Amino acid sequence: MTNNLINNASLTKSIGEANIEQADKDLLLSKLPDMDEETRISLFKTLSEIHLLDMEEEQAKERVKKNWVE
Amino acid sequence: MNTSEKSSSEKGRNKERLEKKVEAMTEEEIFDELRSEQETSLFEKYSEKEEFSDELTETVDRHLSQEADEATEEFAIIWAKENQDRIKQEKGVDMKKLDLSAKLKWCKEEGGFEQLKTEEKYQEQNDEIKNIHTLLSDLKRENIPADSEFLILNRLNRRIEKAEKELKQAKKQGKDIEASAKEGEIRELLQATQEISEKIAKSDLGKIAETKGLESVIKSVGEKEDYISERFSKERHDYADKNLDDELERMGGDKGYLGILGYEIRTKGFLIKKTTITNSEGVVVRTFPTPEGAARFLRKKGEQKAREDLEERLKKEIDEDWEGLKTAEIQKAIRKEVKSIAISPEKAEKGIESLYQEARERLVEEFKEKKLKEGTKTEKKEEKGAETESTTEEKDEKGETTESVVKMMKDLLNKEGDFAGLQGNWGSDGETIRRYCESQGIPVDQFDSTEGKMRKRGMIYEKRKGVRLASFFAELIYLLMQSAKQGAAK
Repeated sequence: MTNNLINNASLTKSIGEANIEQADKDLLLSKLPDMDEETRISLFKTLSEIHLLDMEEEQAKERVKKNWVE
Repeated sequence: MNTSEKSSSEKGRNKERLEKKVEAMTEEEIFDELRSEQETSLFEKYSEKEEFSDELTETVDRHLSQEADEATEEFAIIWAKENQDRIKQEKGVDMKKLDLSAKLKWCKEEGGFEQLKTEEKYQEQNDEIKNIHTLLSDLKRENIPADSEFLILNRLNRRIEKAEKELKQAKKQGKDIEASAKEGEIRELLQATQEISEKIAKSDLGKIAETKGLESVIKSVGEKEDYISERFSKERHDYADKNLDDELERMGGDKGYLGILGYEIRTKGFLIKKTTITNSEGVVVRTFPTPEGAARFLRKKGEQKAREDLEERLKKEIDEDWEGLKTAEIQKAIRKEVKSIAISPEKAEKGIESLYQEARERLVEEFKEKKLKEGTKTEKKEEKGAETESTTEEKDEKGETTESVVKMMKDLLNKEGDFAGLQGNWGSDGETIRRYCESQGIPVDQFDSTEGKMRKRGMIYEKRKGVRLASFFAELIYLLMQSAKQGAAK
């Protein structure tokens, strides 16, 4: 069975949603059709970590808001 | 053996070594691994290292520890007030008459600090103490989290403001020793906040402030040369007249002129003492028929030299005054810059956004550098690969089996969609996660063993919530994909 998470459509969607520069998105999208499986797995990991960084960032901002002293 | 075979067999050996190492881990090592895993965020991994110097760490640690002590004392005072009637009744002790250290002792002995952790009414105090201790612990990290840097700066700035008020009070009351200690504390805190702000803003605030300070001093008192010349011409006579006697005394009075001027004096004759004055080379400067004439000459010359010296000193003082004004303006500019960061949570938010953006960029660059260059098919391979991919692609487009990282993690964290009913323990949730993986076509042959290895590495599913749960899940899927790929390669 095909791995849905690293097929072209899923990775295209994940690249589109990633919080990165448009130029990087364009580069990744242009290279995507030629990526081998191992690279796709790494790309999945990178995109996951980018999203995790977004989540960490939200947490960091919340923590600052909550603990800021006047 | 060709290069790729060699590299793949090396990878295999490395993997075996790693597995053996994991199995051989003692409980203590697992605990250490757990601790280190818990402590490392992705931001720490991908952001530029922000380590404080030893001196800065020591200063911040000392001030934050004082903050923690003060917060603890504040709680002990609140607790003592709330419990004074009970303690008087039960133990016959009047808390009102006790000093702070005795109140702290009673609070500890009577379980006050346990109440602090468990009772809702003390949540504010408990949060405050916990926050300071978190900052103290973050201070020891190799890469200090961005939010902690801003919070440390914010707290130190508040300490400066507090110390400034105390300094004013001490000066008003004439407490010189206390005032001098406060001045030292403020200087130290200003230096520390400047260093932290420079790290956060990634700029040399001192340099920026120097330009601003220079502009500001020129605007208020003029260029250095003009300032010196104007003040000198106004003040030189008054200054010399006012300080001449002291200067002459310092130079040695009437008897000292010779040495100062570098002259020597000789007298000849018994009744009429002819007096000759020579310079340091022995050349005659003046000859006088009487010593009195020589004394008058020397006094005049001495005073002239003293005036010249005084004028030099005045110029130096005016120069130092101008430099002092400039330094004060620079300090003001630095303080303004630091304060603008330290008192604005909005600026802190913007700063965090920028630092995380850098971390994301670094992550993408790493992928581009390490993976993209080697992992994009060569033209020859592409022809063969394109056929395989085209089958997949068609199916994607027809079947629309798309899943995005964002949606997957959102569902996971909200316990929605494929992740509905997750309870937070692997025993009950493992099956749901396995089903999700199967539904997405992720091979699950190594599902249990992969989770087991992660557990040994300290990635404990049950201990994870929010971002850390999402990162657990991403790692699990990544490892499953990797092991399936390696299995297929064998």
